[in-house]
Amino acid sequence: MIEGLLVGLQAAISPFNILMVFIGCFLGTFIGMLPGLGPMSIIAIMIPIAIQLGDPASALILLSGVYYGAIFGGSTSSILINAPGVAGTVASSFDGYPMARAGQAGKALTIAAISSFAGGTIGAILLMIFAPVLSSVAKLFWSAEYFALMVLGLTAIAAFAGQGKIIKAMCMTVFGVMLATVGESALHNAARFTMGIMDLQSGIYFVTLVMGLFALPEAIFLILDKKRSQAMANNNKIENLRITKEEAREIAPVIGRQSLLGFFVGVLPGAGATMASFLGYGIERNLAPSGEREKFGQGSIRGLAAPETANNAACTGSFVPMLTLGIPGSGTTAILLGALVALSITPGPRLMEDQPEVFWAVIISMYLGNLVLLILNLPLIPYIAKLLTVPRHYLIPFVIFFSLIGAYIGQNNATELLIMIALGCMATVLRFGGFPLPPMIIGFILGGMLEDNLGRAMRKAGGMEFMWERPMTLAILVLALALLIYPMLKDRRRPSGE
Amino acid sequence: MPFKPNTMPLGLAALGILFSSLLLLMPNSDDPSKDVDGWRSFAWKETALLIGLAIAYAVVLRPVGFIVSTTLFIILSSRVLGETNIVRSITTGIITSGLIWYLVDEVLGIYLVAMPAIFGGSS
Repeated sequence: MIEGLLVGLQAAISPFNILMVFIGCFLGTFIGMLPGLGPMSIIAIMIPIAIQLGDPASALILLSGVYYGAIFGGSTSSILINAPGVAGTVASSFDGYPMARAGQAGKALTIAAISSFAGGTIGAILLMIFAPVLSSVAKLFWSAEYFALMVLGLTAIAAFAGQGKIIKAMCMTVFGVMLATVGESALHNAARFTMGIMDLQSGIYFVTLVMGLFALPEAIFLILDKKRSQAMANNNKIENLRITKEEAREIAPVIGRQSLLGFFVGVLPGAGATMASFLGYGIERNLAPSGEREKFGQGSIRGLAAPETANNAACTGSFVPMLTLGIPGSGTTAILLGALVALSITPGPRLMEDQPEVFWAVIISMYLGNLVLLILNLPLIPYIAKLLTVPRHYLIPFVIFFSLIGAYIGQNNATELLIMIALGCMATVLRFGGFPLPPMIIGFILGGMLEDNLGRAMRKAGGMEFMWERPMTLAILVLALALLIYPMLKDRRRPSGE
Repeated sequence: MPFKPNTMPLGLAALGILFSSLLLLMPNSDDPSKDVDGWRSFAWKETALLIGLAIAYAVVLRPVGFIVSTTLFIILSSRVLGETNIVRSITTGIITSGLIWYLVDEVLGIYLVAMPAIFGGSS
């Protein structure tokens, strides 16, 4: 392994490559902050430039800088303006945004930067150790297990719901999965629920939904509640950048646990950063001492560190199936796979033997990307957080404008904007009714994959039998059911009216 | 049982009925959203105007072009929200729309119609 690392270092470390990683991180962070432009689109845009570089190691290093930069940029916009541009950073806004609103934007961004760094770096170490072993575990999972895993991911939302809200959360989850059935399914050509609107044929665009459910209602609430938003404007000092010793001690075990969990969830193709961040958030909420648990959703540093760490560790984990099996585990790794093929590299089981320098250069580029991101972003945090000092009468139009344009440039389609405004109004009404919105977005994200895997499993088994005939599927489904029923029973035993 | 395009929607409908019934039947123990407090003092008129502006922006974005529609959206919405300095709102509108157009269209290469058709833009 040491020999491999040296080979990778030799291929990766040169002044030119270091410059590439700086440029990549910088571009990634700033473009990633624009809602709607996630790592996937940014990497897609950068691929032609990377290929121009000619050298696979330089190209990978540039792309890796862009990748980690874009993830951090996405966290920044979800923490500062509650506008997560990609699914993986939705969970970061649950506690990051309340922290920013309480005048702790600088601290929130520092925690995000450090957690991301730790998650990414520990993930890279795990990748180095486990890549060969894990690829054989991933091979054991079939569509039936993936289906069960998605169901588990959906029931884990009970963790977000808080007391007495589990049924409301489940209603929202089912609603989210329903929205995912709009348009053509992957297994059939039949259009569903399009109501004759051509633009719905390909389904509801993720960015449209996420902006409609999170950013737009936030802007609407800022307009509605003038007093609160004016009070908030006076509370935007970016002091408190430093994390105290107690806080560091509090988040250290969270980072350790979530690096491991995130990495292993990331290894499973299709699960990826989103599920890792939601699962991480849910688990840390359940593990937190009772006094701390109530702080989740109100600006808990554990609640921010958990999804940030898990997200980055999972992004690293998603490289395992790509590098060892040649199967992309996520949209982003699919695009990276395309870039590797364009550079005449064929990822797969033979990569480690045939082109060790490339395999190790990827790993080294991960360390470099994470390190440079930390060096670059920590000093920039006060400037990034200054975004919040924009006065209310410009901040609100900007939030609305960036949400609209994020949905527009993804699809180049004005109908998308009208759908988004309608979703925003609906989400505002739901918020008034006390319905939690995050479960809806999780339902939507996992819904498509859920149907896909259910369809494949049912075709293979000729019916629903796979649910009880495959032990691993059954075990995961039972766990999912327990996760759902346990908090409901606990709620019933507790006196109402808390 | 074969898997059809309606298998999943039917299953979801059943789950939807189940959870909605549970919601109606079980005692409602959660406290209503804190956001509802003081809703009478909410700025309903400003909100309606801003939503109206967002809809208008969505409708005119393609025919009028990105730069003109974005500039107008930022000027009008900042005025609705209480900006009194017209020069500042016009400057902010023009700089924002120009900068974002340049970044998206020229740097990133994602096509955005900049101007109305009569000034050489195409939709």
